[in-house]
Amino acid sequence: MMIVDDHPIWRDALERDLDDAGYDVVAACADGEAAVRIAPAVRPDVVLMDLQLPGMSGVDAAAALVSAEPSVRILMFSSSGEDVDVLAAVKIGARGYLVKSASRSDLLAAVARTAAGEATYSPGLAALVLGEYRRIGREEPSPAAVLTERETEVLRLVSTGLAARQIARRLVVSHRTVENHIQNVLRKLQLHNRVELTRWAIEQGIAE
Amino acid sequence: MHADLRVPLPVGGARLSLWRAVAAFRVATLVVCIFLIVLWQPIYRRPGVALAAGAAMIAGTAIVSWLAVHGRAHRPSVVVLDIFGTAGLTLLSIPAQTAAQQHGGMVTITTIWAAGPTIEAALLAGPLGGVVAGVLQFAAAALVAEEWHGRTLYSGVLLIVTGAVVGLVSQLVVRAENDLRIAAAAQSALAERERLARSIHDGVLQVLGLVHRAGAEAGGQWATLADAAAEQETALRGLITSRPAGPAADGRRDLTAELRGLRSPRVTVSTPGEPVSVDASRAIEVRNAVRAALQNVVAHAGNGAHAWVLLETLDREVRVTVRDDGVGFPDGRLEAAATEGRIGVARSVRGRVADLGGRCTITSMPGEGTEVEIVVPR
Repeated sequence: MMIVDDHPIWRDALERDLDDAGYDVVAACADGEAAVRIAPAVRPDVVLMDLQLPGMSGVDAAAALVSAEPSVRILMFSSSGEDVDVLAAVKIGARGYLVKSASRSDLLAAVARTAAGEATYSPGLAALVLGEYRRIGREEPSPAAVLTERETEVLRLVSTGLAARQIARRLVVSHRTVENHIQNVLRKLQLHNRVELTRWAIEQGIAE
Repeated sequence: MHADLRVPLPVGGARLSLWRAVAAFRVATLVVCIFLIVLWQPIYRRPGVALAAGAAMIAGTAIVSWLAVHGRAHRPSVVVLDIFGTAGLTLLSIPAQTAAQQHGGMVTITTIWAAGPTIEAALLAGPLGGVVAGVLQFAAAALVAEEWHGRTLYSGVLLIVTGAVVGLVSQLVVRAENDLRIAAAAQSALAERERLARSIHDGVLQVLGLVHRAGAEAGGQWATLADAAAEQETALRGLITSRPAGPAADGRRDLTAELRGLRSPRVTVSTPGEPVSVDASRAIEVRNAVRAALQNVVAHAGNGAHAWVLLETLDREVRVTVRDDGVGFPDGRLEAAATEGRIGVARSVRGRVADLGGRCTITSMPGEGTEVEIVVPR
């Protein structure tokens, strides 16, 4: 585990919680630059990253970590609610988002999910992702970035605060199926983002 | 156009510059007049009257220019006195000049100096003031000439047009300066707000967040403290992240911002990342409908119910879903409430949505919470 948060009180509280839960916290950094510098040495599996950092933003730091080590699993969290930064973070490869006010048990559950490679959504993030798919559909239609009807339904339910289990009960499917939908939605968006970036790079003559 | 007759003295900024220009104009034209009065002493009918008028012009110019330079000439009393004083001095041409001089096209003893009060009136009271003062000065000159011919008419029209143009331009200049000042003030207020927001975010909000989290885990009376901290956290966050309110220039509003304003510890509002621009009155009505639905949650969903608001943009519509995790109600209870005369949801939510040409569906199951779906055209 690696924790990146510029507020000492939060950093300490998080480290204690994760420690108590049996996680091995290999580093706790106060800013993005330090995280990017230290990560190759300590090789964390999971990074808990504050979205608002002084200097290098949480999004940029997450992007740098993912491009250095694509298998790293990053869980973004912030205290100021969901905004476009959260969307930017998951588009470049973060595995999920959690609000800072979440309880200890919610935090530990989210970290466990992230460690297991699953996606963690807040209702706000689900709405942002839903909006992003609709924007892509309007402005840059791409067959790779289209939600199935079921995926749209699941995202809408997550956006209105339902947990995966409640969604599974409501749609009469298994919990696993819901989780897969949720994960696929994020994966498709990240893939689309990579394709777009590559296309942009080719257009700009940066890559071939 | 609105003219400011009464502004705090001394005036400043663009107004002061304009008044100083007037002072320069009056002094320069005074030099010309005095030169002519002295030059023409031998040919005047009563040279003494012309000299006395010249002395009065010097005194008048001194007083008005001093006031103007110090920004204290911008008042009706000064300008009106100057208008009539100047017109009176122009009329002194009648005893001073011979009849042939007056009717033969010789300039009055005040000549171009007499344009001063017209410009002053224009600065004070705008184009209308300039035109009225111009007509008065022209009337005095016409009384001296006692007849209409091309040249007096020409200079008269020029004078009146000058009054109108100076009035218009000075108002535009003053308004532009005001706009600039307002813009600069708004910008510095925004900068200050951002500075405050940063420090609140980095300090108070973090501590409140921690109190919320730790208190909720400790339970008991600490949980109450945690709730209070969460409430303050949400309120403070709303304050520092909200943009100054008011409709956009094109009469549209961002519906995401309107709905985010409804956030509280018990209400989660989720929106797309980009602004959702909707006609301003429509945005407010949608917000009010959502607020009514949320009030309904507070009233009927039971203690501790949480509500989620989701805003989505469809092709030509916006959809807002309000869901709560409260006690819910059996089918048909809403209709029963409406027929019993309890309006609540029926009027405040459904009525509003219907007025906007939209549709509203309310579904609920006992124990499963309630879901209100509002769809309105954009």
